[in-house]
Amino acid sequence: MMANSPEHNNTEADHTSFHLSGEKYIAIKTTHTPYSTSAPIDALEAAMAATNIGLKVVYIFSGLGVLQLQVEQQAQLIKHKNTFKRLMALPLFDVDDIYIDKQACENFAINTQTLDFDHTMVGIDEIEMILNSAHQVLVF
Amino acid sequence: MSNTQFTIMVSKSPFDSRNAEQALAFCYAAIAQNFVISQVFFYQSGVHNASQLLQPASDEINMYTNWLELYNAHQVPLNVCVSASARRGVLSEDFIEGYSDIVNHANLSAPFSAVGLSAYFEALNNSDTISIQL
Repeated sequence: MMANSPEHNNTEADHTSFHLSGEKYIAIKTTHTPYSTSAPIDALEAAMAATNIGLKVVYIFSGLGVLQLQVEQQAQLIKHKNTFKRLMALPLFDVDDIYIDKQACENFAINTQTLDFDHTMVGIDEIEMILNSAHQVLVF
Repeated sequence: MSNTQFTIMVSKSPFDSRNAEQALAFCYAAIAQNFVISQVFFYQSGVHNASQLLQPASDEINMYTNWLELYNAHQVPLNVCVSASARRGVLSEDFIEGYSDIVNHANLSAPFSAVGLSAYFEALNNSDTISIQL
């Protein structure tokens, strides 16, 4: 059952062979903490709308945005919906290419080993490559 | 002649940022160069640009009327994300029908159109379209 094992879910980027190369896609980069603004949910809704009409979406958690991946969010204390749980729906909406800023995770001590969706840890250089190769880029 | 079209996403409210003014200036500059603005799409707090209730002081910029002028001069489609605008109280006549007990005045009307996010992404599907997010 490799599909759900942490080893399978959490991969490192191969600098030389992004499988996205040559494929047309929209990159959505999310850069805000989960509850400081509506931006994380705006990004999520944008991704869902894009895949809904058949566009390929690459989703990138960068900078402060990796804090959205903190598993134990107690959103109920501030009467909000749990952003982390909503993000778990990304693969259900065909957002399968998910990249996470490795350095930011280290800075904020975010453990991505237990995430339920496949993802790739990337450095700043890889993020730049992904953005440069995108057909369109949206930053939230 | 180039087939390049621009679709512009405005994501900030008119008085918290100069973002909408920059977007409007870009539209005029692009049109002057014979490019097509396929739509201006208002998302996040940018939906406030579409509110008829904006009442800046008389010597201040009124983005609502400025967008109307752009539309009247060049018929640029002005699309507003329906869910983002509903959250922020920018409501069309169609939307308030179901809430007439608590809302009696729409503040979003033509030439602004309340549309789904998919309208924005459909434009991006065109390979000649360049998206600019402000």
